[in-house]
Amino acid sequence: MEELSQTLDDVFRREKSRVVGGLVRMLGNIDAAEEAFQEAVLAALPSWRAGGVPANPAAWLTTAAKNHARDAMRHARVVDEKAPLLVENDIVTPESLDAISDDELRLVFTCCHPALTLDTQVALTLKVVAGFTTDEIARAFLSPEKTIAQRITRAKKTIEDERLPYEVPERAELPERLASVLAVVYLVFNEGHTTREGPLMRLDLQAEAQRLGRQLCDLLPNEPEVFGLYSLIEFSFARTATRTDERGELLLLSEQDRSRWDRPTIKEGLMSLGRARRLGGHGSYVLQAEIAACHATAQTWDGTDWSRILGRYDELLALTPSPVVALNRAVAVCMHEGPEEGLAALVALEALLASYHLFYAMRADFRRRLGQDARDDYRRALELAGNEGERSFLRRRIDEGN
Amino acid sequence: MPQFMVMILENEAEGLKLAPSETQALVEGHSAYEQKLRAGSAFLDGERLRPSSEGRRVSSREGQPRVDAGPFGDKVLSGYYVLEAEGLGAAVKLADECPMLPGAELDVRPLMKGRHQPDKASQQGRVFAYAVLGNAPSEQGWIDVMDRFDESTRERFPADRFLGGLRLLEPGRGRRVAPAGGRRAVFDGPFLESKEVIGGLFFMRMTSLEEAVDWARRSEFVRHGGVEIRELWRS
Repeated sequence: MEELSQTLDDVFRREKSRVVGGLVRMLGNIDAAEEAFQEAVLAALPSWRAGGVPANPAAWLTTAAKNHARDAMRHARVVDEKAPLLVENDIVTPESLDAISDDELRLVFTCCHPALTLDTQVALTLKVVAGFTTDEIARAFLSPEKTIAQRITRAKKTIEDERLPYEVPERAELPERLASVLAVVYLVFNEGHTTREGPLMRLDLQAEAQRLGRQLCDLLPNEPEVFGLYSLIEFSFARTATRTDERGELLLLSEQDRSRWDRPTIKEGLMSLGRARRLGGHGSYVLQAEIAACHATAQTWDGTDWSRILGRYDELLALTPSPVVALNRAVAVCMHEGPEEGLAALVALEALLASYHLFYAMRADFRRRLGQDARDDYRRALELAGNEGERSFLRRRIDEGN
Repeated sequence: MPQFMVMILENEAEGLKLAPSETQALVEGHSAYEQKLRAGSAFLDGERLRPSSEGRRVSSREGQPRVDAGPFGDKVLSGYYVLEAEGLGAAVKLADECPMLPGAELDVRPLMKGRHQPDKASQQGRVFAYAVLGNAPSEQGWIDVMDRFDESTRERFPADRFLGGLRLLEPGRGRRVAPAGGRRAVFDGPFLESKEVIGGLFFMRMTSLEEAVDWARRSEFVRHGGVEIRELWRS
């Protein structure tokens, strides 16, 4: 029974964006659509427990949700301009695939609308598109449930008040709007990848980012950056099992057991990167995926194609100047040209990254390679690190006398 | 000019043995092979199929539709190319350069008819290949099965989902390229072994695997034989 409930939960979560996407178009707002979806889930539970999951769960849930919405309107005797639309849409159930995809896309673009703050976009996307409960989101982001609930309520209110259009952006507007959607997925992934505090990794967020990324590939199959991001997620996901040692302590890329990287997941990354290249992609996610691919296919840390990585970092910096990117580029400089050149590349960054623990961790590493005393840098990094896994890694380095 | 389908039949376990750099070489090898075919004006279509462990076979058993989950054994369709060539010999020669996993085989089969829709990866939704499987003791019997498929399914594909389909001539009209003594050798047909033989491929886009299977269960394909449903890689 437990197992079946889990399966049903998975089905509901998986189908939610498809069903709610259509309902928002019919009912006019996200709240009403979510409520109708919840009612459909309540109706589905006893019926599916007894008779199994229907062959097309999305169609079943859509029909049940529409029936509920229509009954609710009748009860309330609401004479609303939306009512005729609902009846009309009821008849044409097997909708065209493009219409379903457009509904899903409208939902994604609305939840990731730049008029909302990034945190709000993330919470709303996880709630409405990914089908998480506010409690689950709160736990994943280590925030009080009340905060997340308020964030979502405010977001829905902003959408209503500012009349944010429920639509797929026009071609001219698409790159900017898409960047906003990809930023949300990237943030979800990064939160799962390394948390700012507390336990080192939370798989559910990573898996969700992976699922959202794949979903976007199917919805926007000709956008190279979508495939770049998905590829980047896959390469990183492939290393999950090797990111920490048996004591739960962080392992650097150079220390990881590469034979345990997940090969089918790396293949997924390579295939998606291939699609991004074929589509002529050279945006920031594609470039980051290119760098990740160099790591994923290198047999050893030293045997990595550092010259290629350096080239991609140069392109990335030209595209989006960022001190964190410059910091990562310095690693490639160190590996390709030597630690002295690496240190030189760090000089200009200290003022910009004075509160970033990885800056000091990296400078410590370069100094250690040159045989210099690096303990002050490790200590500084330790003071700034928020994550226990990272802190104990740094402590280990200090104890080892570097 | 005659057209041919080159089907790549691989043991998926061999793919898991590859180091990531070797997988990368294979992925890039396919891009290079496709470019070469295009440069020689021989390329018509080509796709890679996702692992059979994600696939389904839909058939009938005692009049009831039956769905089996993958993986599907050690010779699995992992991709195909459709080429134009002067004749079977020329097609086999082109096929011989196709990159593939160690131990893999290629079936080169003349096309009977059909509609190509290249670049299926650019379509919204999840795109699935349906391999039509027929089982018969003789080649004529197999042709009869495929004719029945053809008649009962013609014009019955939902227009906004259908992404083309190709019917192949009987296996005896093709060639198999297989490893023998450390190199590749060409063998004659027929290949009507005990197992089901692919009679054609068609393509549909769906919202999910469940929907793809549901469509097949209700289709005429289940009445005469079966289909293997496999999602395409977007590459």
